[in-house]
Amino acid sequence: MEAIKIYLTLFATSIKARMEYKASFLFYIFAILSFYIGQIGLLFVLLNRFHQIKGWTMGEMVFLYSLHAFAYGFTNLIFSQLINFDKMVVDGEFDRVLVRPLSPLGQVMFSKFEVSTAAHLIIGSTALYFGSHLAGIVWTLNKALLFPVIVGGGVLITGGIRLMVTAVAFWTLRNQSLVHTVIFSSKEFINYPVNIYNNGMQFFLTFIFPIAFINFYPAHFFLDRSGEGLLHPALEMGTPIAGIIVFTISIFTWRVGVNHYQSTGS
Amino acid sequence: MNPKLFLKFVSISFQKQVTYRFDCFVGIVNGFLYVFIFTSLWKALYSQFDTTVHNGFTLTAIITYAVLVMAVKISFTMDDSIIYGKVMDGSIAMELIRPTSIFFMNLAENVGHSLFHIMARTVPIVIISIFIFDISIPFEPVRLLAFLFSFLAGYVLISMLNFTAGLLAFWFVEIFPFMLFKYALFTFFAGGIVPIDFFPEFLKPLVNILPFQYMLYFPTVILTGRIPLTEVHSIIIAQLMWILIMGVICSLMWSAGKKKLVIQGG
Amino acid sequence: MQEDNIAIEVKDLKKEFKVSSSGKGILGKLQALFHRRHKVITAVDAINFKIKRGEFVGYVGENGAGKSTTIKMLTGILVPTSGSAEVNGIVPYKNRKKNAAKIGVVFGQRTQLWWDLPVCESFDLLRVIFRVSRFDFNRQMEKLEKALGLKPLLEMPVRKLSLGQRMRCDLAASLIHNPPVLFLDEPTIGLDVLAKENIRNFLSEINREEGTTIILTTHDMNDIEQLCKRLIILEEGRIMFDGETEFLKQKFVHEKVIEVEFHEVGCVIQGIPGVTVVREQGCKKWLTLDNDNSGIGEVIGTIASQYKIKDISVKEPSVESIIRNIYDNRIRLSTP
Ligand SMILES: Nc1ncnc2c1ncn2[C@@H]1O[C@H](COP(=O)(O)OP(=O)(O)OP(=O)(O)O)[C@@H](O)[C@H]1O
Ligand SMILES: [Mg+2]
Repeated sequence: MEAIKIYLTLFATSIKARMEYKASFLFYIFAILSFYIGQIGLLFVLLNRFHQIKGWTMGEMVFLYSLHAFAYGFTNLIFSQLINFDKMVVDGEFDRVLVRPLSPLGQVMFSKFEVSTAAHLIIGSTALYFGSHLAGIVWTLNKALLFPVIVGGGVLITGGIRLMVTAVAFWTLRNQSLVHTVIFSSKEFINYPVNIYNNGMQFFLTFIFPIAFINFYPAHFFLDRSGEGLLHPALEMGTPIAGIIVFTISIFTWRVGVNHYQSTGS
Repeated sequence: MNPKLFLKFVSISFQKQVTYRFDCFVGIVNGFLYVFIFTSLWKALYSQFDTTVHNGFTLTAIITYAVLVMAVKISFTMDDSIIYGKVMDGSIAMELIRPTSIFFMNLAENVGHSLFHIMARTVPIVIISIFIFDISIPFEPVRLLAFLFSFLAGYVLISMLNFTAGLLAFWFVEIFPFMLFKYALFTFFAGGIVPIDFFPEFLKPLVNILPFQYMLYFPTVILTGRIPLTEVHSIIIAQLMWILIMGVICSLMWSAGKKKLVIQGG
Repeated sequence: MQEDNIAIEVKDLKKEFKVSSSGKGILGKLQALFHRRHKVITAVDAINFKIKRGEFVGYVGENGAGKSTTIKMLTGILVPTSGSAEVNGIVPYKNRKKNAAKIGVVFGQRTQLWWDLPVCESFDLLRVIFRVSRFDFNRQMEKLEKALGLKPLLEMPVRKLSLGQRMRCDLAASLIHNPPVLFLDEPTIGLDVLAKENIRNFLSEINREEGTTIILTTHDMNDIEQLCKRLIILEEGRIMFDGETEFLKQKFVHEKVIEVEFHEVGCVIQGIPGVTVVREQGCKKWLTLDNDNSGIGEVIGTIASQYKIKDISVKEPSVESIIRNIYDNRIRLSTP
């Protein structure tokens, strides 16, 4: 309990530090929004011409997008500092984290506040609204209750992946190229329904790098779609389990990594 | 700027890139990931119809476009935070007392950066893609020459765009939102994902008054053979015109920034 | 097994670093992409020592001797390659949180404080992190404020502090939870004489009054001479002396140092048995002589007969000169 209080204090401090730059706050959110509007705009351009993508209509695509945006937004809120973590390792800044009586991971996670979450939540909610409307989703109590669970599972998946990539910095020092590929570029995979890829890639995105669980599989449940691609009905509900597995492995990797930390020569 | 000095800077910047073997490898994976996603997307879209030509592209043509536009984009990789960094840490003041033009020095750094990415990423990705995908590139010497011109012009344009964006740091504390906004516009309008031909009519006027299509789309379609050789010159002329316009903007902003630097001491 | 009065115990502690070198020039760099060389550096090489509660130990050695590396292992930052260490009966690299609560750490090169926050807010944050009650905190702060003259600094953001001011704040920060063991890695680096004096007084005070065990790394031998009863000298990762500072002085006290100032530069001293020139600076020369050979009077006489002497004095060696000689391998020590 006390630990939670401590983390909240740390978090409050990082928010305070972030608010020093209040002027750019709104513009920052606007810029992120513009980026996603551009991305959705391109989807729109394609669907305007081709009507659907492997059986997924505009509304369904937008819903797919909303699940992703929510998971990503909350992940940014909690795991944002991990993106630049390699700098802490290279400069030896991680030293001071280790000499405090608090979990190193907790300290790193709460040392920065990421405002982009707001933008993602705006995008996510808007997409959710229009997506449900266009795709004609029938919201039952079941679906409404499961929605946060699925988003939570998605957060564990993206957060776990982030943590694993971060831990690589303990061995390689710099990991920006990996961060770029695994955290940012790979997002592009699930901007589209996963059944557009060949079976090998679908397998990869399901069982090895399981980001298909963030939106593709659970979307079937919400949209009442029947199976396609690699889909087995059981996978529809696989998100929380995938999340827990990924996150557990990532915590383990992180622990091993911390013991491998080399600090710096000066 | 003295060409010898220019080459010296190119070489320094090139060497800075060659640091981590791991990074090189991940860089190739990253580029190929995009190629894979977009070729899969186009295949899925085309497979839904009996017609084989959409907006003037056969499946082979659109796959060729997807591979080459990514190759061009990767070749254009540059560090757009150099100028920003120099303004922020005050080292831009050094540029005032150097006899060399800051724009050309920045260009040299970018060229070094890009040469490395061409060698370490573009070439391997294109080679892999030729083996995996059905690609056709017309081999006409004149066309290759025209492509080279157009490619270089596009390169200078992007360099100028990044340069002006970086100079905004004279007036704004945080320019990351600007960079993101620039990136959003670039992603949508440059044709890096969806070629301009697929854009709905109402967007065409907007596309035409912006410089972005001259950065990726036109160099690429010159190479793929979509533009008849007889029309190539008009495109290159338009590119040169944009270079002129951007050049004026660059130097206006630079002299305004210099004035601010001298008066306020940065 | 664990004796109650032992604060730190180190057994066969060893740390190796694997470093890879990248090539030079474009070709060298490209080549390194395919083939790279690894080298293993042994920073700390199987060292052993015990430190009792309340001791004030100087930990010295040349650059790269392995001092910081040892401290990092004792504070839980680095995991040793082999061997073991215990601080307050806790294995630091296995039990980081527990260890951290019972030690204080200052790295002179790097601050523990939040760069953008005012000093007092950093302190308050540390209070929360180290779970110190507000009552204990206020009492401790009052003491630290007085001893280190922090009052005028509390409202300033850390990034605006001078080096000496920052170091005082860092020291205070490391003591907020009143730890029984304090690790100081070059806390006087880059400070002026007065600031050093203040910090030394403060350190000797908490060592005396709170019984805090202190390990101090420094390149300033005055720190050692004034503060540390015990001295551990490290060379290339190995301990080459561990004992009382006073003992070291006694042992070499018979070796006198003669400081001669000539009227002109370039005087050559040679042919006097048992005499070595240890240092020269302008017209001054410092000589040592071992007492088996000529006596002091004899030596001075010989020199005076050759050159005109402006000034001459005989000194007992300072710890600094002894250690410099040890570093220079002019004196061979057998490890006790
Ligand atoms: N993180 C690291 N990676 C690689 N080598 C390291 C690292 N840290 C220390 N070393 C090497 O280990 C040796 C001991 O370093 P250490 O920092 O312990 O020396 P030191 O005694 O503190 O020196 P100084 O007086 O310069 O602070 C040096 O050769 C150094 O280069
Ligand atoms: Mg050191």
